[in-house]
Amino acid sequence: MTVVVELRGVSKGFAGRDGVFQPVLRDVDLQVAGGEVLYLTGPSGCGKSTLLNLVAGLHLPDSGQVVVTGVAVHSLGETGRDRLRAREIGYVFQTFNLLSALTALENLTVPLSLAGEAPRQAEARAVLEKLGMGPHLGKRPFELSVGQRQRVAVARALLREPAVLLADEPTANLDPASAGAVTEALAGLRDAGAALVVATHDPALREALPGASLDIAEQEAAP
Amino acid sequence: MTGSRISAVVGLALRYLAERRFATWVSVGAIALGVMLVVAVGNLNFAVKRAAVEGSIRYPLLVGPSGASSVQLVFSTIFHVDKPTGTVPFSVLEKLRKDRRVKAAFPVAVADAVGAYPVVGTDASFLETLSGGVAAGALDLRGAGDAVLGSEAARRLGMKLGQHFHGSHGHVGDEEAEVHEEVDYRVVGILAPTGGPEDAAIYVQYQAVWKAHAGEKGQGAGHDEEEEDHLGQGRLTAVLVQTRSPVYTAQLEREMTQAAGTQGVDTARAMRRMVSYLNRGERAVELFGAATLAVAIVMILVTLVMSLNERRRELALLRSLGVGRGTIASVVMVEALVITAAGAAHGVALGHGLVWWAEHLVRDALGVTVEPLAWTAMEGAAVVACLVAGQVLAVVSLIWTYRMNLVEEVARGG
Repeated sequence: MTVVVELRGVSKGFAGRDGVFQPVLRDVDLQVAGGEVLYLTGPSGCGKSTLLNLVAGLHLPDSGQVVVTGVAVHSLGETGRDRLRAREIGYVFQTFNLLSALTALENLTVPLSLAGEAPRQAEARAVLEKLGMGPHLGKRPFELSVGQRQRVAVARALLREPAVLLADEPTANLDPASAGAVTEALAGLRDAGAALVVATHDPALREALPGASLDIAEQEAAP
Repeated sequence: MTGSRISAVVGLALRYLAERRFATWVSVGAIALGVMLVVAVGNLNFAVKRAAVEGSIRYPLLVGPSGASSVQLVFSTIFHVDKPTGTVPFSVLEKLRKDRRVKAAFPVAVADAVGAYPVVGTDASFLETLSGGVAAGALDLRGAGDAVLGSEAARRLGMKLGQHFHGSHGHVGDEEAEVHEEVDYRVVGILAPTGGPEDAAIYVQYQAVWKAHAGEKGQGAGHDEEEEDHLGQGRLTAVLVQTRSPVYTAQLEREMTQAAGTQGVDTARAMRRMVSYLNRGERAVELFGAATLAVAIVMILVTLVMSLNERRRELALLRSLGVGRGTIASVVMVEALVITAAGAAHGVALGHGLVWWAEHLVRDALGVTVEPLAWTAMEGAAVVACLVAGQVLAVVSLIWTYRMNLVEEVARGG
């Protein structure tokens, strides 16, 4: 399989509130091929989200290389990274996934338009219906349950048919039925050839969707 | 930017504005208030200055009774507001008409009114100086009861050619006015609109005014003691004079002022004084309007910044979805522009509405007919200032957006 995500010797740290630099990731190496799932594990604050943001191009590494779909993310300018995210990367968060002013359907189509892509109304509707959101297309986020909001977020990622899906605790706080629907959707994306990088503490997700694991805390502890 | 992206930017901006509609409407209302004041004052100022300039050009010299202020004489004689301050003998007119320095002189005898419109006693030569010409009938005061009505007076009183009416004792607004039965006026002409004080006047023979006031002395028929003493056969409230040169205007002004019982008024100078009084009030209202606009703009900026703060996570989410900073900033730009443009549009509409509503008040107070739909330079400046302010706000919000560390929000959100 083709390697879709590759990190080579990536280190990243941030200045703390006291101004002292604190390393978060040190010399991380990883590879994820299309159709594979990589789970990021470790305690809260160990750097899972930072790693996802590095892959998404929201952070730049202090050293090392981040390559996504063959493109060296770390060498791209901001506009180039915006375009890469829009075309190749889907990103699902645990919370704050949706734009409050828009309906469920618009949460799929408007970001596409804003990113310069075609809005793909019919496909957006079909993806939402596939995830059981058919009756809720015109509802705004505050009218949806947590599980329904998460399904909308996953649908938005699926609609883009990304080469890489980044998911940060996608099933946390979901009821079993919603978690099952989200898991099924992620499996469908994997089967379609996408590389999945998922930060999670959910053993049910890992069981239903097998994949490799990378313990970020261990990486950090490494010399 | 593609069509669908522009549509998405505008749509999202409108949704955000709708989400905080109270703050949006307060901002729009504040801008509208400032623009409304500037528009209304600009429109009124334009009308007054135009009337002042036209009046002073048309009649460079005014001769009235001594003792009154020059501005008061101008108000009562040219704008037909304010009560005449006394009378001068008819011989003053005759003397001026014989003076080689005088091109033309016109009698003015104002003492009565029909409703809110003053009855001005004069002669046909005066009507020929009016710029607008006649809309119906003739500019003729040959018959004793002939009357030529200003366009506004005719319209508001519902007067048609041939219609008869009576004047009332006293001036516009006098509560104790009594109807004059002595003279039966008949409409022989209606003036075309000019935007000047003649629109709201009713012109009759000065002899008819004398007739209406003949034999009233001591009858107490609606006149106060002072007026009754003065207005009657052989008296005029003022004389309007066209001179052959500005030098003659100055000479005659001096001579008339030195003569017993009369004073000459250089109308241009009096108008300048009047306009300078008005300018003070105008500046105060303009400053208030500008201050209102400034407060409104600061308010919009604060609202936008607060709104951006509230939306940090949503903006971060958009970034994570591949939406560029420029596109995100353009959403905020559209929000600022919608608020300022809506405020300016409402302000322009309200400003013209206010002028329309105040049309009667202005005419009664200043004798000037305003044009509610007239567009002034000040109005244009106010609208442009609003739109420019919108752009500046957009740039400030753009800088603000660029300074936001959206990635931190993504991390927090995740």
